Amino acid sequence: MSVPAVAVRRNRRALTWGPALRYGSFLLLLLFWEYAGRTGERLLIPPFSATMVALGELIVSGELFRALYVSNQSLVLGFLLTVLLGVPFGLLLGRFPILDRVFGIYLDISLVVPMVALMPVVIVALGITLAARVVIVVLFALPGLVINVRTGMRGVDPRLVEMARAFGAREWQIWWKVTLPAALPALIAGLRFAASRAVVGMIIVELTLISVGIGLVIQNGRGQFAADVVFAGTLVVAAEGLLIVGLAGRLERLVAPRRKLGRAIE
Amino acid sequence: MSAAPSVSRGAVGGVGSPVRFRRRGRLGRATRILSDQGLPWLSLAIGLALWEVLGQARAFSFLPPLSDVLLALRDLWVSGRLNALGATLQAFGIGFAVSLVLGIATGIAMARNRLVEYVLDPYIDAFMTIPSSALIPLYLVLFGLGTETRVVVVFMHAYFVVVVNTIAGARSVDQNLVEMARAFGAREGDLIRKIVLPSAFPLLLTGVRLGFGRGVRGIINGETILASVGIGQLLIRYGRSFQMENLYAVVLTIVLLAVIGTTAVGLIERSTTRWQKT
Repeated sequence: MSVPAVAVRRNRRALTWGPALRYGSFLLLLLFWEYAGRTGERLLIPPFSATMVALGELIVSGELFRALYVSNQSLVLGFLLTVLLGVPFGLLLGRFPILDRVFGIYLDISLVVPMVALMPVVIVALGITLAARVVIVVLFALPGLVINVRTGMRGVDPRLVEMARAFGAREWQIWWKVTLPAALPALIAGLRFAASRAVVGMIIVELTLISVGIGLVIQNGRGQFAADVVFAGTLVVAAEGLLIVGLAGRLERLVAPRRKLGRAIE
Repeated sequence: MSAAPSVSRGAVGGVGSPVRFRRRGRLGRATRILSDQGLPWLSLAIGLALWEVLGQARAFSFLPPLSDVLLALRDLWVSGRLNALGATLQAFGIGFAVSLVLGIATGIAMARNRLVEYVLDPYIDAFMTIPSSALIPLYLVLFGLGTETRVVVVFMHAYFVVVVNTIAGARSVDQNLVEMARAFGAREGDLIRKIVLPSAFPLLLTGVRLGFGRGVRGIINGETILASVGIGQLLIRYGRSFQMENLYAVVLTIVLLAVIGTTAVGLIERSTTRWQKT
C-alpha cells in the first residue's frame, strides 16, 4: 500500500519534532515540579530536589532497604501462593465447564469486589501478622490470575487436541504439548495483572491497618508533615510496581507478541 | 458427567469444549438449561446458606451469620450512617465523568495525530504499568483530605485505560471510509464526529467498562487510605473496632453496588454494540 504524500509529511514532522518534544516536555514537567514546590506552600508539594534529597537520606540510612525487605516479604510470599493456587484452579475451571458453572459466579464477584473491603476481615481472623499481609496480597492478586488462566484454557483449539489424539498422544502429552503452550500467553497476561494487584495489596494494607515496611515510612512522613518523605516513599513503590509489571509485560511479549486487540481480562 | 442416559450421545468435544456428550431431546434441553443457568445460582444459594450455618455455629470468630449482617445492614441504613455512601458516589461520578470526557478526547487526539501520540505515549504507558493505587499517597499530599482528592483518585484510575481503548478504537476505523469522507471534502472535525467516533464505539465502551471498574477500585482504595470520609472510613472504623456485623454489612453494600454497576455497564455495552459485526 503506497503511502500518500500527506502521510509522509506527517510522519516526517513527527519524527523530527517528536523526540525533542517528548524529552523536552518531561524536562519541563520536572522544572515545573521544582518551581511549584518552591513557590507554593511548602506543605503542599515538595520540590523535586527535596524529594530526591529525602530519597537519598532513606537510602543512605539503610531505612529504605529495611523497609523494602519487610514489605516485599508479603509480596513475594503472596505472589508465590497466588500462582500455586491460581494456575491449577484456573486450568480446572477452564477445562471442566461444570466446575466453572459452580465456582465461576464467585470468581466474577471477586473480580468486581474491591478487596480492600475484606482487609479488616482478614486481620480479625489472622491478627497483625505477616500471614495476614500475605493472605491480603493473595486476595488482591488471585481473581485476576484465575480469570486469565481460565480464558487461556478455554481458548485452546479443540481441533488441535483432536489432532493430537488422532496421532496417539496420551493425556499428559496433550496437556504438556498442546494445552499448556496454547494457554500460556493468557497465563502470562494473568501474571502481569496479578503482579500489579499484588503490589497494590502489599502497599494498601501497610498504609492502613498494618504499619510496617515502606507503608510505615510513608505514614510516618504523613504524620510529620514531611511531604518529601511521602513523595519519596510513594515513588519507590511506584518504581517497584513499574519494574515488576514491566518485566511481566516483557515476558508476555516474549511468549506471545500481542495481537492487535488482544488484552488481558481486567 | 455420570453414566449416560439411554438417549444417544453426540460428538465428543475437545478441551474446553462445552459439551462432552449431549443429551438429546426435550429432557436433555431442560437439563442443559437448568445446568447452565441454574447451577451458578444454586451454588450461590448454597454458599449463602453455608455462611448462615457457619455463622450461627460461631465456627469462626470473624464470621457472623448472614442474618445478623442483614440486620446490621438494615440498622445502618435506617440510622443514616450509610449516608457516607452519597459522598462516595458523588466523588466517583464527577471523577468518572471527567475521566471519560478527557480520556476520549485524548485518545482520539493521539490516534489522529502522530506527534501527540509520540509525546504522550510514555506517560500513558507508565501510568498504565504503575499500579494506580500505589500513587494515592501522592494525591493526599497534593490535594488534602477533601472531595477534590477523591475525584482526582478516580480520574487517575480510570483515565488511562479509557485513553488506551479509545486509541485502539479510533485506529480500528476502516481507512476506506476515511478516504471516502475526505474525498467528499470532510474536515477533521466532521471526520471525527461522523466516522471515527461511531466506528470506535465498541472499543470505546470497553474502555468505559474497564474505567468504571478501575474507578470503583480507586475510590474505595482512596477512601480507605484516607480513612476520614465516605465508605472507606466506615470500613476502617468497623474493622479496627471489630464490629464484625457492621463491617460485613458495609462490605455487602459495596459488593452489591459494584456488581450492579458492572452489570449495568456490561448490559449497556452489549445492547449498544449489537449491530456491530464483531
